[in-house]
Amino acid sequence: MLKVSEELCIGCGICEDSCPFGAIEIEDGLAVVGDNCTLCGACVESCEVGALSLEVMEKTVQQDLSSWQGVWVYCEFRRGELAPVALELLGAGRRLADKRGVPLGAVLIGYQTGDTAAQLIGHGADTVFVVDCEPMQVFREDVYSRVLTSLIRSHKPEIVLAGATAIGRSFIPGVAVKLNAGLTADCTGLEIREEDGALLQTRPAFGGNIMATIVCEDSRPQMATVRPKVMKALEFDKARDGEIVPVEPEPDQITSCIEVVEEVVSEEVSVNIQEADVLISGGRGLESEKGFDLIRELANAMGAKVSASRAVVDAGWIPYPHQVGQTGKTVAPKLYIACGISGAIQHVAGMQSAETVVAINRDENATIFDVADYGIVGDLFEILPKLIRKIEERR
Amino acid sequence: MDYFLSEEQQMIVDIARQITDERIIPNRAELDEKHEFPREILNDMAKADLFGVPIPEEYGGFGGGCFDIVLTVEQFGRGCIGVGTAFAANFLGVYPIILAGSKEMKEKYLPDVAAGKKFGAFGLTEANAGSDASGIKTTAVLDGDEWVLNGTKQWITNGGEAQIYSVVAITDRSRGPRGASIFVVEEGDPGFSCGPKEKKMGIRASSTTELIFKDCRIPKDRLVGRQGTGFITVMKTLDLSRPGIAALGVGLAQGALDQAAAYAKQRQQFGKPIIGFQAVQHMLADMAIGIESARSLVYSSAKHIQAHPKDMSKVSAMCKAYATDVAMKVTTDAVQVMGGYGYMCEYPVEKMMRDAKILQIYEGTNQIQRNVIGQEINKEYS
Amino acid sequence: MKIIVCIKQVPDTKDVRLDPETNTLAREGVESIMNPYDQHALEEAVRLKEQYGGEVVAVTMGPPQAEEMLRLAVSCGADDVVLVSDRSFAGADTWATSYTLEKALKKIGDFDLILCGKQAIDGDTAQVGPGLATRLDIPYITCVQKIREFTENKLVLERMMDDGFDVVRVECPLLVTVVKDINEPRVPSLKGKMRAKKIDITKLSADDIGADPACIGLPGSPTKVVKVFAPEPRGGRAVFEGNLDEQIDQLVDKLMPYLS
Repeated sequence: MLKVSEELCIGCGICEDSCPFGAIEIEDGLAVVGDNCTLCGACVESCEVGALSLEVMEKTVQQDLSSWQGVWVYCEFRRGELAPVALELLGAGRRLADKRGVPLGAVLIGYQTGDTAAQLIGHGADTVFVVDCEPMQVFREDVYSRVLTSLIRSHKPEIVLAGATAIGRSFIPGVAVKLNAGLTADCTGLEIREEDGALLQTRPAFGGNIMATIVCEDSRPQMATVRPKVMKALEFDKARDGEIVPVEPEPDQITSCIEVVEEVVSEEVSVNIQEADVLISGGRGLESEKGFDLIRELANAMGAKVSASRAVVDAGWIPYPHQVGQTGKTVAPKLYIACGISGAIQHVAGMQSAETVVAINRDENATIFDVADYGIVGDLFEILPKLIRKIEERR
Repeated sequence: MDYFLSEEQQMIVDIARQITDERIIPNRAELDEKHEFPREILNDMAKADLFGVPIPEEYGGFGGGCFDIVLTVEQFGRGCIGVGTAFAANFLGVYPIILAGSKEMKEKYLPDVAAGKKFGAFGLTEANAGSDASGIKTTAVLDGDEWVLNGTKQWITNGGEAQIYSVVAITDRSRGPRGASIFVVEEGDPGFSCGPKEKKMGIRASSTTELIFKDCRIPKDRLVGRQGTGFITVMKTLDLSRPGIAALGVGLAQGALDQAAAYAKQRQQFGKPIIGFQAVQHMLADMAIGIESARSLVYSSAKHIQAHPKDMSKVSAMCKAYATDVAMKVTTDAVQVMGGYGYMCEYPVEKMMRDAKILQIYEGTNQIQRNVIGQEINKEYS
Repeated sequence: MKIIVCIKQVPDTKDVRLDPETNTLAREGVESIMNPYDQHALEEAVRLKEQYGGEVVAVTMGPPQAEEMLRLAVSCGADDVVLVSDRSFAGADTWATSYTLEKALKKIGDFDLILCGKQAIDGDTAQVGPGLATRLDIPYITCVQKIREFTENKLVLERMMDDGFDVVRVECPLLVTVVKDINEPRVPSLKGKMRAKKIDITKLSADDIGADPACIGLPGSPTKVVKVFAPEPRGGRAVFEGNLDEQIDQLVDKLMPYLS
């Protein structure tokens, strides 16, 4: 319950403005909480006189938290390849494990994984549990979920991290429910809280317009998915030592209700904007599908890949795999040129790790200029053709 | 302005508005450029039950009147009057059946029209018969159990796209105005074909073709109403449909004002948005006055027509002439407010201005409307 | 085929902002809408019903105001709607939400298919669908971009992957979450709106569904929000000097090292 202290509340109305759900109203100089309060706590933060508090019912059943130890990373392996996010998570996991003084485990699920386990050790893992058998070749939610759940149950790691990929986002929530564990999706920051060693998980909410830090105080494991390209992998160190533990799944774990009939690798998607060094990104400012062609021309001239803001994808000028931002892909290219993109926070969330950002926009007040290293204010339809010509002349 | 719409009327407006904003506006430039008929958008309108609005309830419709149709097409007009014309001309083709058709004929056609499965067109105009309908050359002759049609209709909206055509033909030239009759011709009837699509200045999303009848044989029961009542039904049909054209004008003008005002707020000259200059403000104010007065007249006329079906010619003509003149003026001024940008195809107002012109021409030119009004005044003061 | 669609009312997130000065949420003019992904789930359910026959029931857990969204669902083709609402549900994370929905669905009865949006745009977690299926002990497939066919009680689906898509066949009952590519949601129909105005909305409270108070709402949620803040802006803002051509020349100088 959200409590309002009648003594402290001065009826200033700041909480009324801060509530994203419009659940607070000032009546007779006092904040009154409505039925649509979701206990998000935004108002508690905003209240300058400390009149608001969230009253949390104490949990009656406390788990024995100390029996859960270690940090784990789920490592995705598909069609003979390790997902790059796995190494990034090992980098993050190593830091968390060292802080907690516990080992870092990796769970590798796949088929014909070869020397991948050794690679994981070289990137920071102390122990690698390898589930390498034919049934793991295709992704089936129920099978993957049972295999990982059973491993977590028997080894009890305190933290489990997974990449926020299509596979991770699909089966990890099922695992969390089976374990009665809290799960935070799409984290962009992970830290250990000094007082109690709990995992502080920071993630964007409301389309990236707001950041929230989340903890799971009373349950273990603490689970989080992390977006690719957010964490940094450690350099491979072949001197690192570690243990490889082969795991044979039980027959009942691999019986599935899901039949994968066909796996289709799409041409369009194989242009992975997350792997590109240079991205030319277009936004609503291009005004039309025809206008968007200028982005393709500039990308051609520069040998770059094309990406886009959500507005452009929604308008159907380019398919979804090219979308950068909170609901699209997170990218970290060396160079990101944003053309006609205003710079809504949900877009910036997806490209702010770019090394260099160039912004071209008609509106000099566009927020994209706040994150840009270089900017030009002006008409795209004048600037882009000139830019393309000058680049082609200088090549 | 609040026009105190009923709950049902507000529902119709909300649905039509959503279709306009989500389906028509994002596609209008492409439809215009490609001269493309908006089949998918019409399907969306059908799924939303809008084709059933003026169809009587016993035939699967909502039994709405002229005012309900006005509210619907006003929204479509705000997006694209090419699309709006395709929608409205369907009813132009169907009204003769509603007004004069037999029960069997209504049962045969109206439920499919209400469901959006069949689409109508109205075949009146010919090369030498436009505003002067007495010049009609197309003939229909009874041969046994079949009517045989011969002649060519010109500039028929929804030609080639419709399945049901209400066609005006002379059945007895000696009887003058009493010698015309209306027939339902269906797509695929032997001897009936449509010409190629005409290229037009505006409303390019709508289809305009010739209808060609060469010994076109249709069953006897396709005659709408009694033989020789064709002209009366034509006049009633046009009286009933003109407020729809007027509403397209109101919507179109509103769309143009929306564009011009938004632009004027954003465009900076001499250090401030141009909406801050009185010259621009006055233009926008005149546009707003024109639109609201036209809307008021169209709404009241539609309500009058709904309540007094025997006395509709004058109000119908007044609202058509006034609202479409307003649309022409407002769209022209919108281009002016937007200056060079307004003239470019990148912005929608040049299309609006091109589109607007047809409103002053089709379904009776605005000069003919004034004739009608003048004649009515003459009668009133006799 | 009985299809349940789980839908959520969300604030239109593109309008939600945190004021970095005051650290408060600016919600002026923020509208409540049906989660866009859920609209696609509802549309797919209605299309399946139109093709194969059956019934579509839309279910939401939310405040009483969510009634408005349920009426929208009816006007878009849902046959029946259920509002799962109780003050004690407030503050639920995805774990507690999936628990509550599981209880509600068991109360509602048998079903062949549950459709959900891929995620809700206020939280973007994509966890409630998988969580709900796991609790109900039925299979689930996420991020479905196409339902190819429904024959012999089996669905053939295209599930989006990072590098393409998988075609999978699964027996009903199952839960499917959908992406926006799957269809284009229809505009409400006039008949639908008229029905929506009159429909009696089934309401279920925590007691009605027999929920354990320790498992619902904030107390039942393993995750807790401890801090809310505005994302850090990236420094920068450098605009070139000179006229436009000079500026473009300076930019080209900067871009040259990146050409490939």
